[in-house]
Amino acid sequence: MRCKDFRPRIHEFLDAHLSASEMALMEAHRANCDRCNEYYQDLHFVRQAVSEKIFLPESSVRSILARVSEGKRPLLLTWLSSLRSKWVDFRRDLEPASFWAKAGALPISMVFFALLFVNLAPIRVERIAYLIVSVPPWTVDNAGTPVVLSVEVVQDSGKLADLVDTAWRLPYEDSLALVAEIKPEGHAEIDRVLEFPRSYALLDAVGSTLRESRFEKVGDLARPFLIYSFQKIDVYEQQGL
Amino acid sequence: MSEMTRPISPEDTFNQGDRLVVSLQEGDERAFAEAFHLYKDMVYSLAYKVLTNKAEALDVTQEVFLTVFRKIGSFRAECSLKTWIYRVTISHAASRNRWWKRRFWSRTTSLDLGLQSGNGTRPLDLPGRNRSAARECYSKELRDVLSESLRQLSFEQRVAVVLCDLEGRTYDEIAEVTGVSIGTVKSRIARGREKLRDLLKDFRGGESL
Repeated sequence: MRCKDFRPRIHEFLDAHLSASEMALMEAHRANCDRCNEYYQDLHFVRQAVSEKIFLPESSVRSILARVSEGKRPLLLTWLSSLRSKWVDFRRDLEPASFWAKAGALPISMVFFALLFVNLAPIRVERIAYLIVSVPPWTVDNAGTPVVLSVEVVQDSGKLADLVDTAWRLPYEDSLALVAEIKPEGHAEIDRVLEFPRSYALLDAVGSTLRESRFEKVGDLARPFLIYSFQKIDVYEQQGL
Repeated sequence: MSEMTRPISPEDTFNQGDRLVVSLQEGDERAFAEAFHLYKDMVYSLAYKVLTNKAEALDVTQEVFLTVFRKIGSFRAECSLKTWIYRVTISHAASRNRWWKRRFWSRTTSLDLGLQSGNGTRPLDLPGRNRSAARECYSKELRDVLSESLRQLSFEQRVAVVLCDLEGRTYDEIAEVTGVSIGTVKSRIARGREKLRDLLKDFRGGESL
């Protein structure tokens, strides 16, 4: 037998899980090979160390016996106590929460439920209103800058699909779709542009007109909201004075 | 040979175990005491070596006997009582181990730390090995070092090595208890022992004390 045959079977040899003839072969190799013998001795030492018996301390025997016989109570009590021990196990299995986690969880959950109950706007999607705002024929000043005199609310409704339909039916030559937000002060500001017009100057003009306009009340909303505005703008080239 | 003088055969021990199960299932108090005294050290030492912690081992021992006495009614003789108790012990130890690992794994220290800091051959700051120390001191120290080393093994490796070396179970029995194939058992034992060999290598010189 050679070392490369001896090494893979060394654990079975240690545990005497080989046949008598194989054991004899292994033993013969061990006697002749110093390195394998050294290796064997190391593992044998490990085996010896692990195999050291440990005895249940006498002081614990009585307390364990007492607690075990306590556990053999009538069925209902046993069931209740097993439920309790399951709960204790469950609690123990949870990650120990830090003080800050506990301290943080309470206000966060309070704020969450408060938000739910006071009907704060960000949660209530249905209160967003959609409006069609049209920009009537506009003029160009001497410098060629578009001048938008007013922005009018054509229609407001809660249904976006209806509004899109209406918007398509408006006469137009250039179109612009944007989202404007009506500020508490009464004017509106462009939030984002969905569809750009051919002329960026027109976008600026609509923007400044929205800033100067007053929107007293938007639909049936008590407070100003995000407004989706679909503008159909009739462009009259060189219509200027 | 007369019936009285016949030596005890393995069949008798089997029947004895069988009788013990029947008595336990009937709720016989004496059978409980007998089973406890028969298996207490086995359960405790298995739990101790697998969990490497005395307090945990005591808790597991108590839980195991509670489970054994409560569930003995549902025990079917598909395996021996001893194998069943091994299984119960290992499952309790495994749940303890999971909890322990989650809670304290970050606080354990690797044996390699000392090596990485480059201060010689003694890995951890384990109690110094003094050749002139008394033999019992050495074996106490060995137990500490072994516990520390066993902690470096995976839970499965520890179970396989301990069942094999401490309890002297065969690979078949370990496979039955842990529910894995014999090949897996062999490789767990081999890897576990090799790792322990590396970790205890430094310590072996004191064996001759």
